[in-house]
Amino acid sequence: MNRRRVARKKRNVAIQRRRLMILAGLGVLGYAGLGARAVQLQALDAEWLAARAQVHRSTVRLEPLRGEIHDRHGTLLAGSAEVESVAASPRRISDARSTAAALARALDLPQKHLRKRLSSGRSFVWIKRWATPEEADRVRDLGLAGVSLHPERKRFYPSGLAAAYLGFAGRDGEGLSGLELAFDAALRGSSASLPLLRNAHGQRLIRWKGDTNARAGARVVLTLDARLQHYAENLLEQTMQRTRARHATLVALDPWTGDLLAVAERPTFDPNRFWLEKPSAFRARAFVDVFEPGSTLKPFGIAMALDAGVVRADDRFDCEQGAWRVGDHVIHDFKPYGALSVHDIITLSSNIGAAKVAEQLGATRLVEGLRAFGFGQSTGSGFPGESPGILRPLRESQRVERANLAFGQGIAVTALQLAAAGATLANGGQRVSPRLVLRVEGPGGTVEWPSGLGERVLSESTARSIRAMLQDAVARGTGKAAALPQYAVAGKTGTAQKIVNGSYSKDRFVASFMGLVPAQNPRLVVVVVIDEPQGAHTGGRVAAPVFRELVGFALEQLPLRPRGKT
Amino acid sequence: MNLRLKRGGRWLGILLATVVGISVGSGALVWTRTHIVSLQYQLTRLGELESQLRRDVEKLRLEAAALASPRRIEAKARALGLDYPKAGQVVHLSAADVASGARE
Repeated sequence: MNRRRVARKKRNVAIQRRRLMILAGLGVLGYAGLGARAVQLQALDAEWLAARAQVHRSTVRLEPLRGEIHDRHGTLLAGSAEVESVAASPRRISDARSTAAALARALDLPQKHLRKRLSSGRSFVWIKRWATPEEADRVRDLGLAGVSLHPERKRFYPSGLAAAYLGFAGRDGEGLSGLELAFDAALRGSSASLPLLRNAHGQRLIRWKGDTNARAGARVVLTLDARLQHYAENLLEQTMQRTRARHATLVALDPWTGDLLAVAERPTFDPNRFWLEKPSAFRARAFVDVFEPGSTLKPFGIAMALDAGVVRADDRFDCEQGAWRVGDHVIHDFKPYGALSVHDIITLSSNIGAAKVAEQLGATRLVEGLRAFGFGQSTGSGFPGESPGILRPLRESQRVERANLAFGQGIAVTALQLAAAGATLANGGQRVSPRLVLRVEGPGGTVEWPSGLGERVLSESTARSIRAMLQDAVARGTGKAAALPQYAVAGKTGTAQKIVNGSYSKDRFVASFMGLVPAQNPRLVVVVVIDEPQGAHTGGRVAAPVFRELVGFALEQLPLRPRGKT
Repeated sequence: MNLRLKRGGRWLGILLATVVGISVGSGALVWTRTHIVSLQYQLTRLGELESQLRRDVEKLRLEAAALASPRRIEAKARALGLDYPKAGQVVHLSAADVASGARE
């Protein structure tokens, strides 16, 4: 019995062992098979498989969205969005004639031009870039062979304000003019390339590792106030219609920070369709165009003479009854005056009086003084192509040139320089660099554009004294049209003859007005320049009313910051 | 003999356990890899959806900015017979004015 049990047990163990051996053998065989397959895939067929896999492997480029441009209160002035462009592969188009006819209807393009493009035999041609959504839908509905739609980025300027200053970005997203050009590197951001796999079903698989750092373009915040800018542009539009002038420019500046609250000009252009516009309209005239300022320059020369102590406000000068010979030239006043105080020379805008004050100051000090106000050099705004203007050095023997310079001839300034110099009178005598950009907010942090008061040009008492003279110039002088009922205005008109063929024209003028308001605690400096107004052509008749309208709006309706606050 | 049998069985057991362990481990590895790939597909889809939504937001923001542009609002206001307030018609209130007004 025992022997039988032992024999059975032995037999069971043997069976068990055999089963285990089979199972283990199968396992070993299975793994050997897997190993062999691995060797085949990883070693023998590796190159062939790698070559096949390449077909499914590519990269996807993540383009950053171009940064936005905002006004100081956050109003969007420039932004980007994706639109569709229509392209074709002429090699894949069998019937160019009917395709051209269909596309011409859908895109409102000349059929002849399209047929020529579609018959070119090339592998890729653009048919229409930046098509409207409706046009893109019509092309999609046509379902034409060889015609495709491609997403592209387009720059939009929703309000179209400050077009010449914002500039515009091209079809490939690069800044081409204005601030779009100046801040192109920051606005563009940086793109990223990610590995892309596509499986046999065409499903995309992006490997979200590696360089996923597609950084969006920076946000540029301007000093402009969109409401004031709009109002200024409207005013200039009406002024252009009324005066039939060639150009009109306006600069409104905070004299304590240098913030440009409005920079407007007419004629202008639509930056949303810049390719259809005349390039001459792209000029940011306040920064790049120069003009002879005429009498608006007088306060600066007289300020230097007062500050140097060579004259006092109540000193009197004989204004020669309107005609004074200097060398072989005769200087004229608009009206004949006898003896005038320095105060009245500004108030009544006497060329002869200003020339006599400059004689006391001397040519070298006059030029140095004007340079200290910022004339003849860039204002430091950083705007591309900003003109330094023209201010030539003078010798003491150049009596005629010195006399001319005293009343704004023989010098060329930009509207921006004039506004910045006016800001020095407004803030008590310190230089200020105008700025159009408040800050740049990038992924790496925010960069504030420097602002505030710079070196002292003249004493506070001199600045106050000049403001009092300018206040009188508006109250009882040439600038009456700039007066506001509720605020005291200080300002100076200018009417400069233009130089045509080397001599001063008798019928072409630049009318200007430079004003500060409120007169003894200014919060706003405004310069208005009207180039070649027809009919009434004096600064007092043409430019001063524009100042009054703008300042009336600004002081009544905009929450301008209190003095000294940024 | 009995001892040999027992010893052989133990080795076989270890071998079997190793085979099973490797199989389970391999299965787990394959499952996690498959799951990762499946999540990557999901991520890709979500990433593309996010990009599309961002593009839509950009378009809507631009549309809103165009609708709120001062030029358009002024044109609409003028069509309704409205105009800018005249001098003295705008009254700026300070925080203190607002607070005292609220109390009254």
